[in-house]
Amino acid sequence: MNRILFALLLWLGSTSATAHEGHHDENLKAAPLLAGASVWQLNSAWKDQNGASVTLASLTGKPLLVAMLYTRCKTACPIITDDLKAVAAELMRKGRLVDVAIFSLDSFHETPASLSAYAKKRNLPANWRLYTGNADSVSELAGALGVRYKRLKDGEYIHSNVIYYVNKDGEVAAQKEGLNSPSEEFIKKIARP
Amino acid sequence: MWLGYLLIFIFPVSFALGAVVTVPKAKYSPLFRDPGEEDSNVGPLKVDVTPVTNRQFLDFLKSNPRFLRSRLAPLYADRGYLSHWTGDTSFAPGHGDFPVTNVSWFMARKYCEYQGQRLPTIAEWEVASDAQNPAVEKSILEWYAHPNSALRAVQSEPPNRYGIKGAHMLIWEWVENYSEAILSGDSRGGSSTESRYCGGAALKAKDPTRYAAFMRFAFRGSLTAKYTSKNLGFRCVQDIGRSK
Repeated sequence: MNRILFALLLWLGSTSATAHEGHHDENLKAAPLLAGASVWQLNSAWKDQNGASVTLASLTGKPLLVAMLYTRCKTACPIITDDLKAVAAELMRKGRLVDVAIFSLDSFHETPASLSAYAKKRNLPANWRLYTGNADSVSELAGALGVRYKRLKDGEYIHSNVIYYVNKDGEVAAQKEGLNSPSEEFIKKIARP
Repeated sequence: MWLGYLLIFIFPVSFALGAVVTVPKAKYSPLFRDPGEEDSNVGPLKVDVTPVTNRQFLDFLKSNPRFLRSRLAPLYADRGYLSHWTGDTSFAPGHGDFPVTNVSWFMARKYCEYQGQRLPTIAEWEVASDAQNPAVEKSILEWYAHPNSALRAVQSEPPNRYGIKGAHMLIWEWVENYSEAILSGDSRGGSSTESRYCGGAALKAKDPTRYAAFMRFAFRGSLTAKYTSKNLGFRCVQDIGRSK
């Protein structure tokens, strides 16, 4: 049994190593593939906190800080929101105004009204947009960004806590993982001209 | 008379590929449980008898040329996409009935959607593949220990108790909600949720002796939507009441 397990682990190890290698390779060669790598090419429909219909394609052309969370979330999500605020403020100090887009993971409960209430409660700046879409739109965007999530029976979600910097071509150019994690490297990557 | 021969020769083939079986309602017991997670009911559900083959995938590409290997936007798959094919619309002779592999989650989903179907969930796949049957576990483990064994035609695989072929010991298969397999590090929560996220996956295991189920969980936990691999394919399912 041990031998089998060992072989399994070896193989899994090589699998994930391959995955990482591929990812690395992509980053290096990202330049010629800009349009094709855009996450905004996903053909999904969303509504913002004002109830307006928005296509992802319309987000092309402007760099954005992007996160996926849900507004009923009481633990991790307020921290990501605070992280987003801190990163945006730091970028502002460096002379860069970057808009923020929050996509809700909760296609079951989220509505433009709940998004709008969250924006008000958390005192979010005017250049922040919050979006809600159906389950299919959520899973595609999460897949494209690399967000992992799981809906629990009580309606709460377990999810990745990641802030993405999506450049004007819709490409994920940097990401900050974890809550309250250091943001210097992330900001350095974004602020670079 | 000639028509009779034709039917005999053609019918079984066209029947085996693209055929679906109905998997009756069954209980799924997850190996790893998050707080509040209970057994769930799966099905009844129509499930493809066989994994999607190279030939079936080629037919799909002919109708959807933007997904050809040379044209696919890199958002939808890594560079391994269909890398075992010899060209945009060709693969090695005799491999038409082999399961298509080197396909990403995005492309597997698009294929199923085009057929009026969808990818199975983890629960649906585990039930339909009879993975929870302890009698199957040993042979599955043996295959996991030799993961690079050669692919074969999907029809020649032995059917499981539902009539499903090739779910084990041939390839790994995509599931719709692969990203729910969160092992560690991905979602460390705030202080009050620390225990929910950081307990260590093994501690959550319901029955740690179920290595095969653990391997599938770990494998899914390593996947990303663009990822492709030479032994990762898929099959589609459809809800009862929806025509294919």
